[in-house]
Amino acid sequence: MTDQIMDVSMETVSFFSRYRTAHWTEALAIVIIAALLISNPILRRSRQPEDRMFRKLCYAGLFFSLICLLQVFTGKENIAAISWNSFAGHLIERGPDLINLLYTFMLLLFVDLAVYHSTGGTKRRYVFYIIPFAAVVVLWITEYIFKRNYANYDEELIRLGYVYLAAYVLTELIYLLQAFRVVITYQRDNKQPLFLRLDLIVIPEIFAFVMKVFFGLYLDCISIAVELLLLHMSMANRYRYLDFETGFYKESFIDFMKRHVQKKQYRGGCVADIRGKGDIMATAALLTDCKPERSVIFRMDDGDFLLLSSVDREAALKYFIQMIQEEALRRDPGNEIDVRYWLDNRDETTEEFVKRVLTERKEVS
Amino acid sequence: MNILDLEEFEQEDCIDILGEDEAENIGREYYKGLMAASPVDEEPLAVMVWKILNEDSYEENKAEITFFRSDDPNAGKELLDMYGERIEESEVISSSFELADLSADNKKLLSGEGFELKDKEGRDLIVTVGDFAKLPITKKKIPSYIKPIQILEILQFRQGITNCMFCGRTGIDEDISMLPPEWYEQELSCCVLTEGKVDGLLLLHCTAGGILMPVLLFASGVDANKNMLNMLCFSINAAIKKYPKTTRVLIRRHDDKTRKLASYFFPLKKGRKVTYGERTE
Repeated sequence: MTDQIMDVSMETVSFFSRYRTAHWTEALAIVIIAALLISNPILRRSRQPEDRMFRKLCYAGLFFSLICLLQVFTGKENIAAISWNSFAGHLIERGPDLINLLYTFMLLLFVDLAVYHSTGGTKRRYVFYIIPFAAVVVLWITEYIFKRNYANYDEELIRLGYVYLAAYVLTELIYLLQAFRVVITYQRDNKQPLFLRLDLIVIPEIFAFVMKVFFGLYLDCISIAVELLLLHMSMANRYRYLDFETGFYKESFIDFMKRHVQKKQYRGGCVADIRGKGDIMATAALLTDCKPERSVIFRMDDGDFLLLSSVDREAALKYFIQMIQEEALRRDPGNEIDVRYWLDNRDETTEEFVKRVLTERKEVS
Repeated sequence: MNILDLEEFEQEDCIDILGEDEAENIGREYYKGLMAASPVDEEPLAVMVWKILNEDSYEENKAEITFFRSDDPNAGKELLDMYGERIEESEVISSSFELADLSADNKKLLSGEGFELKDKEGRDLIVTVGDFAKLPITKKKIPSYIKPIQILEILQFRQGITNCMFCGRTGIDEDISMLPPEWYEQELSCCVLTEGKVDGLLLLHCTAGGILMPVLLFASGVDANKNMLNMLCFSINAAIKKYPKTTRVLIRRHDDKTRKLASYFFPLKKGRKVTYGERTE
C-alpha cells in the first residue's frame, strides 16, 4: 500500500515538474503576446479600464513565459544540480503556478471591467478574492519549510502536496467560475450583446490542465497566449463599432443590434433621439454621467445621440429625459437638450420598429 | 347626494376624513379619492380612495381600493357607482381591495355591488424596530459604499431612480418618478454608491402616523443580492439608533421576494386578518 502511495505521489510531484516542457512553446507564447501588443495601437493606447487591464494581462503573460523560458539559459545540467528542497528548486517546481494563479485572478478582474466598465465597482467586488491566492501562497511557503525538514516523499510532505494541489485547483475554479458568473448575470439581466467570449478560453485552459496532469507536459504559457489572442479577437469586434471620442457606439452598430434583438426575439423597448444645442462633447459627457442601466447609446452621423433601451415604461423614459434636460441647463444654460422618443408598440416587429424610428427621424431632420 | 373629489380638499380636511396615513396619498399620481357628502350639512357619509395599477405598462389596468368607509348604504352605493364610472374612463379591467376592520354593513354593501369577498391573512406585516434589533443581521459589518440618501445630490438620486425604472422596477409605488427625495426617510433610506453613481436603492417612507414603510429595495449587477442585504443592514441599524423600539414598521409583502424575505426574518409573524374583495369591471 505504501509503495502504491509512493508511486502515485511521485506522479503527483511530477504534475508540476519543470523538467518536461517544450520550451519552444514558451518562446512562441512570447512571440504571440508581443505581436498582439505591438500590432494593436488601440490596445496600447486605450485608457478604457478594461483595455488597461488587458494590457496588464498581456504583460503578466509575457513575464510568465519569460520566467519559464529562463530554464533554457540556465541549462539542463544546472537545473539537475539544483537540490529539490532548496529555495531555487522549490521556486522552479511551484513558482510558475503562483504566477499562473495570479494571472487567472487578473483575468477575473478583466472580465468584470469588460462587463461593468467600473474600476471602483471591480475593486469593491474583488478585494477579498485575493484571500484564496494568499492561502495558496501560505501553503507554498509551508511546503518549502516542510521540504527543508522532511525527507523526499515523506508522507507528511505528500499530504501537504495534495492539500496544495487541492487549494490551487479550488482557487483557479473560484476565479474562473466567478468570471463566468459575471458574464451569465450580465447576459440574463441585459438584452445587449456582449462581445466578450469567455467560452473561448475554456478550451486552452482545459487542454493545458489535462496535458499537465495526465502527460506531465507543461503548456501553461502557450495556453495563456492563445487565450489572450482569442479574447482579443472577440473584443476587437467591439472596437469596430466604438466611437473612441465619446465611448458610445457608432451608427453602424444599429444594424448589429437589430440582428441581435431579432435573433433573441426580444420584444418591447424604446428609442430616444437626443440632440444638444451646445457642444457635442458636453452632451456626450452628460449622457455618460446619466446613462441608465440596460440601455445603449449611439453617436449618430448627424451629431445626435440615440438611446436604445429594453424598458417599455413611458414614465421611466420621461423621467430620464427630464433629468438630462435639467442637468444640461444646470451645467451650461446654452446647452438645451431636445429629445424625441418612440415606444415599441409590440404589434410591430423589431425591423418595423427600427424602420419607423429611422424614417421619422429623417423626416423631422 | 353630493359626490366630491378628495383632491379638491385641504390636507387637514382629508386627515379628518381619512386619517393621517391615508390622507397623505391624496394628490399623488394614480391615487384618486371620492366622498359622498350629505346634501344637508356636507358631512361625509361615504368615502373611498383607490389607486390605479399598471397604467404605465403594457399590462391591463387594475384598481386597488385602499380605503373604504360608508355610514349610509345609499351614499355608499352612489359612491361605488361613481367609482365605476371613473375607473371605466381609466380602462380598468378589475378592482380589488384588502381592508381590515370592514364593518358588516360595508361588507354587505360591497358584496351587493359585485365584489367577491373572503377573509384571509393580510399582506401587510407590522413589526417593530425592537423586533429588528433582535436579528443577527444587525451585527453584520456594513461596507463604506452604502450611504444614506441624504448625502446624495439631486442628480445622483434621480440617476438612481432612473436606473431602477430602467430595470423595470418601481417598488410598491408606481409613481416613484414623481415623488421627491424628501418623501423618503433621509437617514434610513440608503444607496449603493459606486464611483459617484447610484446602482442600488433602499427607500423607506415614514408615514404621517409615524410608521416606517420600506417602499423600494433595488440593486443591479452581479453582487445585487449582497448589496441588497448590506442596504437592509444599514437601514435596520439606522432605525435602531434613531427610533424607539416600539416604532412600527410596515412590510408590504407585495411579491414573492418580499414574502420570502419577511418570512426569513420573521418566520413566526403573521399579517392581520383582512377582508379581501375583487370584481371584474
